[in-house]
Formats: sequence, C-alpha cells, structure tokens
Amino acid sequence: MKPQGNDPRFPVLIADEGLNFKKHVFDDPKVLGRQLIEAAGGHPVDEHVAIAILPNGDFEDIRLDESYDLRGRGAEKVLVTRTDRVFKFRIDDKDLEWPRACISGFVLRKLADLPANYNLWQEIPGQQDRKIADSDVINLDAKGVERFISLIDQTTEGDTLPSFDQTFLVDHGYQFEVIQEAGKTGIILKSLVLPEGKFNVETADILVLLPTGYPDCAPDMFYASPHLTLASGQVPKACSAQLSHAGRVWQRWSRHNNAWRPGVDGLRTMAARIKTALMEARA
Amino acid sequence: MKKLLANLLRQLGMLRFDFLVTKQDSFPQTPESDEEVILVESGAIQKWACFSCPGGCGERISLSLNPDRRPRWRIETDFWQRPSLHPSVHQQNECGCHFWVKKGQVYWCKDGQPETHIGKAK
Ligand SMILES: [Zn+2]
Repeated sequence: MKPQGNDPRFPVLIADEGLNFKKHVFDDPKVLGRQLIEAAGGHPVDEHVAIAILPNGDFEDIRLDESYDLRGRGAEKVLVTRTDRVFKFRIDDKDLEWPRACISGFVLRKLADLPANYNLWQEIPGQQDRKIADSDVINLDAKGVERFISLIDQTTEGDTLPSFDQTFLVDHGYQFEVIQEAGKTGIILKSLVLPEGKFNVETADILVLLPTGYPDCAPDMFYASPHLTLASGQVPKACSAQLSHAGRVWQRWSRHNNAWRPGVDGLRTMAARIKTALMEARA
Repeated sequence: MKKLLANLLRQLGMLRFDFLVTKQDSFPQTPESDEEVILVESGAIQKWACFSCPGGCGERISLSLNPDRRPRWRIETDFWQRPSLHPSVHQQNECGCHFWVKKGQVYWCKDGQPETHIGKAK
C-alpha cells in the first residue's frame, strides 16, 4: 500500500567517501544497508558499510540485510564507506585510528574522551583552524586531515566595548549592560525614555548586537523589550519579528544602516539612529 | 640571538617584559615555558596565542586570533618580540585572572588580580 500525501516517498542524503552528499529517494523509510550502498554506487557491496548519521552526530552501522527505519531514528543522512582500511589521526598528542574514512565531531569527542567544556578544533595548515561541532562530518581521507586539538573554553575577552563607546555612554548618562552570549556581544541600554505618548509604555530596554568586526562594521537592527505598540494599539512597521537573547524575548526593529563610517561611527551613531526610528515609527 | 640579548638587557634592568613571543607553525603540544607566548602562524595567517596564565594557577591559555570568531584577540610584537594583546584576557575558571599584556608586560585589572585569589585559597 502506498502512503498518502503530496510526496509519499522518503528522501535521504547519501555521501560517498569524499563526503559528497547526494539526494536519493526511497519509497519506504525502512531500507536495507545493501540498498543504500547500491544507491551510492559502492562496489562490491559486501566490502562497504552504510552508516546512519543520527541527529546528535552519533553514527550507527546499518547491516547489509537489516531493514533500518531511517525515519524512526531521525536519520536523514547516510554515509557509505569501504570497510578494508584504517585511518590514522591525532587528537592533541594521542594517536588514534578509525576504520572508516569519515567521522563525526560527536564520535571524535567520544574517542578523545573530552569533557563538555572543551572544544575540538581541526588544525588546517595555512588556514584558520576549524571548530568542530558534534554534527560535523570530517573526511579523514582528505589531504592534511590528521590533527585535531582540544581547547578548554574558559577565557573571554575582558573589555569588548571600545573605550570611546564606554565614554560616550557614561558621559550621556546611559544606564547600560554589556552581555556576552553565544559568542555575541550585546549592549542593553536600560530604561530608555521613549517619545512621549507615542507607545504603550514610557520606557523600554533597547538591545544592540555588535557584529564581528565592530566598530569597523555596523550594527544592523536593534531590539526592544517589552514589545512596543503604538498608542493606537498597532504594531510599528517592520517590528513583528522577535529574538531571544540574554533570557528575554525582544522585539526586532528591522532598520538597516547603509552609511556606517568605519573609524568614526560607534554607539553614538547607533543611539541617534534608534532615537530617530522610535520618533518616526508608524504602523 | 635577540632573545639572549633581551634577557641580558632585562637582567641589567634596561628592558622589561614578562613574555616574549616564539613563533611556531602548528599548535604547541607541550606546555609553554612561563615566559613564552607561542604565536601559531601558518602561511601568513595568525591563528593562536598560547601561554601559561601569569596568575600562577598554571592554566594554559589559548587565544583565538581568527578575526571571524568570537572571542578573538589581536597580537602585536615589537622589536624585542614583546607581545601586546588586545583586548584584555579574562579567565572564567577559579583563578578569575583578568589582565592586559602590553609590550610583554602583564597589567592586572582591578577585578582580576591573582593575589586576592591566592590569599583566599590559603
Ligand atoms: Zn590564572
């Protein structure tokens, strides 16, 4: 019996040893390892193995004649690889090997026995090293893939706000807080006084996220908490999206900036833009 | 050679530094000596600055110099290979050390001096 629906078939991304993922469609989410290997062009079939990549990055071997329920395990990606080789690499100063060309960040972490506050990096000669996430899949057969390093995540930038911004905020009597979250620096301007009678509240906190490269690069939008509505009850234009940051839900004010002058502009410019946007807000 | 001379000048009280830079093209395996900042530079790309925490806790600190990542630092070296790091370095572990490195010298921030922590531990 055919399942109902617009697209009843089951799509799977299957990668060969070079980690090239191609979409294959099966009629049934329950497939045999053999079918997956054949789909990826693995010859001879019994010298290959199909490996399901689970959503957390863990691997699970699929036996040749096992009927494996991809949907049941949430697996949308499968690797097909030869079984007759061993790949050597190092994590810090530990020599390790793995019987497949491909490995996930999750499995690497398991092999290295890394505590949760350590990050794993792939050392890439001539380029910036790459931070490895659990769900990343790495091709150990590729040239130059031999060394990984683990680094404890316990150092932060002390003063991330340029001193001219600090001076500006202090001199102009802003109450502010600098918050680091998920690698992003956010400045919260506290209890900013809003244009009189314009909104549902008189004051609000305004969040500005500093982009990588600030102050050479411009902050883009800004965010308000609580959500602001006009005195008429309507939501201001381009303010319907929201963002979770620093434990709060913020209203996104989608206002873009095309005239940032590196070396000149800073939070002073941003504060002026925010003021203008609040003054000019319309439904 | 320069390092020898720098050390000599330091003994004579003519040059001050806590750290000198040593360049290396891959991530250091063995811990650095206490007076060394290892600058990992591969091709023309600066990747990491590695050194031991100057607070005496012995923790190894690896600062990312990748401009596209957060957190990230910049390093400059002068004629004597004395490093300046920007911004400051703030440890989130028990030692809580918070300091600047300017021209090879450690300047403690008032919230991150090791004395207070060592005093507490004893
Ligand atoms: Zn320390």
